[in-house]
Amino acid sequence: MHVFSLPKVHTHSFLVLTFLIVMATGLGAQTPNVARAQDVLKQSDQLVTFMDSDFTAQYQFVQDVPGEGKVYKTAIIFRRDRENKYLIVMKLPEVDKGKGYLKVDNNLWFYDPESRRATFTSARDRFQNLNARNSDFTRSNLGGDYQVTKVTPEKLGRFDCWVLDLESTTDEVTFPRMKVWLSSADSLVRQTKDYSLSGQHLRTTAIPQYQKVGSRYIPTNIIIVDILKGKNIAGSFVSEKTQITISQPSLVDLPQNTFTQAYLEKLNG
Amino acid sequence: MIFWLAGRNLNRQKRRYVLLVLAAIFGFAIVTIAQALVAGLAKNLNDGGSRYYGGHILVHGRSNTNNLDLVKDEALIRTAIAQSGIDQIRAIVRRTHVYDTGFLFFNGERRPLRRIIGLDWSAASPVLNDLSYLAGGPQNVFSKTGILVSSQTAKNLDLRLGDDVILQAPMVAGPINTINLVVAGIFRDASIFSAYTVYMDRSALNELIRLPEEDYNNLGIYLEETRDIRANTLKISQALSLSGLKTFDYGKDRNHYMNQLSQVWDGWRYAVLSVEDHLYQLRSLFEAIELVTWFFLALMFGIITIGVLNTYRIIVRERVKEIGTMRALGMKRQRISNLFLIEAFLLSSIGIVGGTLLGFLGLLLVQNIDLSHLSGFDIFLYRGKLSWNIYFETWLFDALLVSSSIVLGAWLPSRYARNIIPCEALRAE
Repeated sequence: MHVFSLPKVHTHSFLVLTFLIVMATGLGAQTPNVARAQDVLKQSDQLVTFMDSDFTAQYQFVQDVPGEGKVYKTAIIFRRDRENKYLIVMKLPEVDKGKGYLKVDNNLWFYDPESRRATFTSARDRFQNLNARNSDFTRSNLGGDYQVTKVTPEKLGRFDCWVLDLESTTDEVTFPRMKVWLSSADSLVRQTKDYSLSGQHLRTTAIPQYQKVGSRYIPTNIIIVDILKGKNIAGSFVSEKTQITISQPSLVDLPQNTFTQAYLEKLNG
Repeated sequence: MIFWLAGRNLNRQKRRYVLLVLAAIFGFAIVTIAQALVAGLAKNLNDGGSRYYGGHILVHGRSNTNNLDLVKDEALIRTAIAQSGIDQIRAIVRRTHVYDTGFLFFNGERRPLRRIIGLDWSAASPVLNDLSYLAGGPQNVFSKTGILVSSQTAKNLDLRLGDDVILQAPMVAGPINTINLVVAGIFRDASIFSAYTVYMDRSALNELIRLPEEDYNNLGIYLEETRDIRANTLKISQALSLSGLKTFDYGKDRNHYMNQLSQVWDGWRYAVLSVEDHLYQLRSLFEAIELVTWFFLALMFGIITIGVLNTYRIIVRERVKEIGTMRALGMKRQRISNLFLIEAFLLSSIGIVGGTLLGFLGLLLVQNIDLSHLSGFDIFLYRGKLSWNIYFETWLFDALLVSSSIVLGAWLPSRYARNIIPCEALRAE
């Protein structure tokens, strides 16, 4: 299928990436101040954003519900970051096959192939009742949506990180407060913690590994831990979590009609 | 004298009348029970719906510049309500609500909520006290941190009184917020109105969703008597309009209001809707049930009329000599006719009194039957049981109807009796 062919690589993208990494590495020597950290956050966004091409990949979800077992789901995700669009098409399980999420600007529709109808849904809702949210699949815009209020250095496993305390500057986000761990070596997000406005810790997301796609990066694995949902097992609280594995990434340009309901209908025959 | 004669005749003919009296008593009792139960079901539906929607009558404020639902002119609205001439107002309560987007967390479990309702506890206590509590209650809510949950929610989350829970809801602006609350009461209600509803302090909910302290979504009016709810809603709507506030037209149901939202206006505009306007589909159901009840009533009284007609025709034939004697002794034709009609009236009175007593007895028995296990039916119940309401006007109408049908049944035979010629009657074998 054309969407999984080898990515196109542009020379200027290499230059941008090299510049970003050099900047990030240069900053590694000392903890940046808040204003500088805001710039680093924006650079971090650019590392995982595909403004000059479309992006396609297969996402496999494994949700671990303590005491109940695992839930497996697979979806294909199409992104056109420059137009703020995405299309998610469920592949597995069979019962969800063909269901789709279409995001165009700030509007998100859920398409049900059985009724052949698309209904408005919220980006803040949980995706397929997993621990991910619909907003997790849009392009990263932490630098635009949040303001850095505090920066502290911290070691996260093998990564030297800066921990950025963020407060939202827009009402479009799901979580009004976040903490982001950026590895000082490459400015990639290694972990986030999401909070409610009152400061309740709601979710932790870990991104231990990235894969390079063209001149950019996308996570190889994402682990989302729901802090409030889980079960007491053998005397200790075990959180519900979802592991996302991203494979078959592609930067091939997609047909213009990909981000339409008609395309979703066509996929469902 | 004629009443005494009629009473004596009734007593003497009691064996013949017994079936007729029993039919009248039974028929009136059935009608009384049916109408009282329908009235009770309707009241329970209205009361349950009023807790869900925020009042028997609701004043909604709407601005179409920001699509917000807020009430901004409370002083004017309260004055208009006072001037509307509606009495028997039980409480007027400010309410903030969050629909369909809230979640309650406890011990790793998550429960989606249909409605998070924020009320001023003191103003709403008459309404919340109507709920049946398995544990705690509004009296346990001493601060902004209390929350009342349904037994269904408590069961799903394994909640007990005093447990700390986390309530999550989107703020007015959109992003998520949470608040820590303590379970102050668990009410017994598995109906769609309350199973997924929680009640909390309004200012705490405002804080959660970042709505200014003084703001709220609607002003709920709770009534003692809910029978004329739509007429009273119209009165308040007209009073608001007269007081100079911009209002929406009051129509046949909630959709009439919804259709007007596409209009353009400046500032705040108010809609007055009753719980029956929200539950208009169920209102149609009740109207159908009432129609069936009236049909049943008409059928039953039709049968009684025919029964009385036949019985009196026999009675008049059997008492033809007695009638001839009374006529020979100088009793006028009209008095003969009246004698039979008064007999029939006394008969109907016995039927009405007996039927009312039997109806009461039946209702007292029915009201103790626990029907809480009937899922889907609990919106019509009061604390899991049937309840009833007898309206004097309805009872009086039924009584007049039964009297009229019995007297009507006796009218033709009484006409025959008055025309009997004494000498022929005395010669008759």
